[in-house]
Amino acid sequence: MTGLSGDLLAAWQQALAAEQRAVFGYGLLGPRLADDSAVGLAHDCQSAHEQLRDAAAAAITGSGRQPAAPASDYPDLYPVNSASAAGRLAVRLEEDAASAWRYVYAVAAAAASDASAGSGSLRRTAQAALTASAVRATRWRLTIGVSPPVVAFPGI
Amino acid sequence: MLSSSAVVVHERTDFREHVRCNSAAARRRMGDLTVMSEDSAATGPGRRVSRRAILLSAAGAVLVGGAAGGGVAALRPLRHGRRPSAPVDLLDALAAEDALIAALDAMAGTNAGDRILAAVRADHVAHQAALRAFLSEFTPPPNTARSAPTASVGSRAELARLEQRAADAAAGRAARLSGSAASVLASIAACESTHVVVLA
Repeated sequence: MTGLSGDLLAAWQQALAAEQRAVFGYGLLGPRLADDSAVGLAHDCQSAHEQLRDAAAAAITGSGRQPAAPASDYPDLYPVNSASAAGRLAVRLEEDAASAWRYVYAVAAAAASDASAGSGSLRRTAQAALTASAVRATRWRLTIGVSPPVVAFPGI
Repeated sequence: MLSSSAVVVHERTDFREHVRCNSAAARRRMGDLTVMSEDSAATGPGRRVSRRAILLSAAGAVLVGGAAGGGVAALRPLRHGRRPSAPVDLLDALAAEDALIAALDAMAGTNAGDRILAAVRADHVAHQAALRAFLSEFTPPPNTARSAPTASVGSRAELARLEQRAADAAAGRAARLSGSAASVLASIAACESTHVVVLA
């Protein structure tokens, strides 16, 4: 991806930060999960976020910029001292990632009237990531029994 | 790149006032759709990604919409003078929501008390309200009777397929729009994908 600059670059860096945080968060919550299906879901989610993290970092690097380094710790994610707390944290991680990608979409959409190169591709990437996180959040709400399991405007 | 006309709105205006949502359930589900400053929105996801933001342009609640059927153009409803015509993609998005609600209502008779169907319907009512709010900034087209065919849905599996098609269509329409309408429609597309999961 080329041409990341200004607000678009900042949005992309924030999406990277959200993915880094999600990867860290799943490492934190995984050991607290009680049943196999939840553990499997957590593995799938962490793997998805690792791929998005790497793709986001590669896009920033490909644009000639330096990807932001992950934080050494994320104190706001603690404590995770039960299976239910782990499930709630997973929902939060997914909602936060959805917000980050929706923001990328918003910045790219604001740029669309300028007919900036690559906006369509970037919006497709952001839409896919936003949708994927919204779906994962819903799966977690179903897993931990949150009702309703859907929200009208994921990422907003 | 954000346009230089993007405005800084410091107060957290409740989006519900803007959309004038008629349904109590939809109002609850509209949640925190708020107007935030460009600066705070830009720093939002990094510091606390769940901060809600939509970007609205200078008049406070106007759109930078996309023209249908071709290139994307800035459509700025005017405070003075004639307002531009509503983008076809926004009209079609509203018609799609109307059709989904009608399909859900047609199922309601045999599924009374189904909490999943109720939640899905409430989402669509919220979408409908948001889209109407966007469209209120435009001049209605001469023929406002734009509608999508109401599908006859007899099962959750059929409804899930309908939701998937709606999600794909919403994502396509979002991609042809620009500005905050595009962003909200992208979120609607994501929501409709989650409906496929809960209806499975």
